[in-house]
Amino acid sequence: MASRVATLRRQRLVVAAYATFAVVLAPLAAVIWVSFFEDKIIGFPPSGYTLHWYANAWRVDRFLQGFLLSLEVGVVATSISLVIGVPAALALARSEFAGREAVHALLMSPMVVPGIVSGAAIYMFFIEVEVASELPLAGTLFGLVLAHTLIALPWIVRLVTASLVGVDRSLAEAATSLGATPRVTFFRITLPVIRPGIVAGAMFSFVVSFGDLEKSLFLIGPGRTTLPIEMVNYLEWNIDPTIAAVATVQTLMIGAALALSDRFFKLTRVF
Amino acid sequence: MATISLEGVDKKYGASLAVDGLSLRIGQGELVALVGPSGCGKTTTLRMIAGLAEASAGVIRFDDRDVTHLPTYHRNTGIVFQGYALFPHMTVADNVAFGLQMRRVGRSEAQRLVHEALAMVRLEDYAERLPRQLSGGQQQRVALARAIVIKPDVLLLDEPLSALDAKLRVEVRTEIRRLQSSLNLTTIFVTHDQEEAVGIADRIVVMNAGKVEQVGTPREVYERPANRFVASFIGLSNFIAGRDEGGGTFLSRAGELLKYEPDRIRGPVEALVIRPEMIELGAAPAGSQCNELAGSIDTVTYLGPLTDLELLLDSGEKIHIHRSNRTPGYVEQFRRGERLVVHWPPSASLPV
Repeated sequence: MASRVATLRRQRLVVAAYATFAVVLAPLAAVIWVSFFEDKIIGFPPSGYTLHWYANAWRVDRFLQGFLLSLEVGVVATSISLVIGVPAALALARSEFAGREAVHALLMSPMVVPGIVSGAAIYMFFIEVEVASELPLAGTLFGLVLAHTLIALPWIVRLVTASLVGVDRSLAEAATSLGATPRVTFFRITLPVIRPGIVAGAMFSFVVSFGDLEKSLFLIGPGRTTLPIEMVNYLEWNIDPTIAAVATVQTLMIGAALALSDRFFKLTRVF
Repeated sequence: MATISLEGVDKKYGASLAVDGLSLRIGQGELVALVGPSGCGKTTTLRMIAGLAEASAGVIRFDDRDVTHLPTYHRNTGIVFQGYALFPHMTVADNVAFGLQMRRVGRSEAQRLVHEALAMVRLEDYAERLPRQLSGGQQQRVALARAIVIKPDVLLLDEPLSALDAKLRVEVRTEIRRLQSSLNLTTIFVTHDQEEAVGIADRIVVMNAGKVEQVGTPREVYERPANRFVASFIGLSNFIAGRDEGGGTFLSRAGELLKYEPDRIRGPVEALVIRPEMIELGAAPAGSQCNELAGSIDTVTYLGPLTDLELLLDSGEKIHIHRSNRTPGYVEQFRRGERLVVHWPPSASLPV
């Protein structure tokens, strides 16, 4: 009897899980579906299906340019975040020092502040610096990359710290006792052991940077617009399924990156 | 291999002293066990010898070399950790070869030494496996091979057996001892398990609250504990409280006069310790010098090879008596509440 009750309860949980999954996935599925509609004005049911919008998206130069810029910014911002984030994570996970909590909070804070707020703040800061020093920052690629580094960094710190927590400290001690200097220990032992966390962190950082809209809104310059912003701009004057096609391609890319990082590192360990 | 000596070594963590003025000499090829309750400073001592913790004061020497401030990677120690600490991304052979690579030993020579070390722990067929494909006992043997292949000045074992189950523990312990004596390795073995320490060591260092309570062979420490702490930590002990009357006599709280051998005295006598297996049942034989006490049986616990009788003395103290179960049916005769007289010779009374 008891086991029947337990089975029933589990079935109910499974149903709830699938229902939640469906709610999350439904808009995404709708976008993908719409991207194949034949009609220029979206209506149900569609009069037919076509791949025309994908070809069209490819022809719209601003999408391609936006895509390339987003790619560039994402890769550079992720690389900078790795250089800063991996040593930071090592220090946070491995040593006790004054202000450790404060540093941790600081590194994670970009996750907490709404993107639109920090985007505006960064923009104003850039303007102030420009006025004071005449260094051009606002609307430059450098400024954009800098802002995206802020988006990417917390993810690197978080995932690398999480993977370090699961690593036995005595591994490094064993290596030093066998004659490895701290440098050799880092490259031969610590780095290979936390590599899955680093790869996952990099993937995640890239995904978050690639999809960012709010922070970038204030920081783009003439002829230098990221893909998400190009999509918003396009939507202002057009409502044909081209945008759905672009969104589908973008979703697939992000999905692939996430699936890849999950293979290296169980993302559920971080959340 | 080297002689290890510690002279007045302190380790401070903030205001507290984890190790307090420790002096110790470990001879070439000797196996010394550091034993004590958690927080007694035994692991800290080991880490200071390894260079993983720095001594706050004092000197540590390997032979005549002062290594007190030498970094770990210049000390030439082999450490076996409680959690094995095998490099998970390297094969068994690469794990063992790591220390040789750091010493720039040539490839073919290294291969030979790795094979030799793995053969010593009977794992030569596992060279190409990854650590996670091995059982706990096998992993610990790989860790041992990795530590000895570099011919360390000292082999340091930090609770090497506590992650293993009871049966395996004895097996790996015997293996460690066999290797250690055949290679004549100076070895320090840290454990919280006094039975393990007694079973493996040439000498035992009993530590408590950062200080050494007693250093001696397992036999000395068990049979002649220096003080109450050692007596209670090593083995099972019965304590009889009372007052020393001098000249080898001791007055228990219940007013019985108990005898001990006065040359056993190491300090002020506050109690007599009697090991459970030294107590005989029945009245003392006529004319003997034996001590005699009476009480009622409180519990009888069958333990396989022996039976534990808990006797409630007239003084209100409880003592444990261990009797062998060699005679079948022997245990059945004892009943709770039954009166029992017991005796033991003065030589079995340990004044502490």
